[in-house]
Amino acid sequence: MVGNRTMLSIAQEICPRPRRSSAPGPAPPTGDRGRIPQPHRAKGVKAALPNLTVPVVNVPGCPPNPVNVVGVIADYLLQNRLPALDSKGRPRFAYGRKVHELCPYREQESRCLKEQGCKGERCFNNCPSVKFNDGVSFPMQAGHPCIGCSEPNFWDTMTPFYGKATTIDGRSTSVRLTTQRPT
Amino acid sequence: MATSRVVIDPITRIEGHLKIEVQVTDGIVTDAWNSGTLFRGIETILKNRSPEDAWLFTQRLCGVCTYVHGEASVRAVENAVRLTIRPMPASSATS
Repeated sequence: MVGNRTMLSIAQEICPRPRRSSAPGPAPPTGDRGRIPQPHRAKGVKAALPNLTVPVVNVPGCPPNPVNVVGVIADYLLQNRLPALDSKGRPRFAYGRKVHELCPYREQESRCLKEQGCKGERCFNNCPSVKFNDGVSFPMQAGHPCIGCSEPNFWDTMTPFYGKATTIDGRSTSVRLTTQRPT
Repeated sequence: MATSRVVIDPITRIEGHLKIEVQVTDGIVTDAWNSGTLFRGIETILKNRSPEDAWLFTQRLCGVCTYVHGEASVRAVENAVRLTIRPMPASSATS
């Protein structure tokens, strides 16, 4: 609730207004934080407003990189058309390649975080090249594995976030190699 | 005695969704209430998940004070398993 109105009612009023396009991105494409359970019933724009006729550009990420958000808007203002999108409604210029493909540490055994649960091989985003905070750093540069935050339902499909990636019953998951209990 | 109530909803210029009600009597605040009006359900979502993942969920409570929610979760997990973290050596803390 914001000002005694639900977010859905605000979205229903605001989202149909632009005549040509809108890029209301800064939520993951599905907008949810865990499929089971999902007490808040949050949804992405397309799911929440099924009758919306305005084109929607998803700029996913948690958070999405502001360079990509501004990039979509600037691209539209300059070209007067929407950027090319992938099957999940994401602009290809930002989400066209996997994080792992762009990661400078993928060939360095000492720095590659695949064994720690890095999801860069399953996640499409440009974090390693654009970086965050005006190009200061990105997760793997700080020594933390990618959590796959620009993929739909990543809270369920990418968890557990830590541990060696593997496939069990056809589903990608992570397995912790060692579990140390406190003595 | 003149009593009036001031309602500010939402409080703007913060990230969250906050409602403040203030009761004013003869120009003096005599009572006040605040309400967080956005239900997230993070506690429910965290059930049955890996405790190592918990801090990444709780961080999403807020886009401004992200970090403190993450740190609070890490401390809660450390307390739950009675884990004591050694202080960072002075040599690496000053770099």
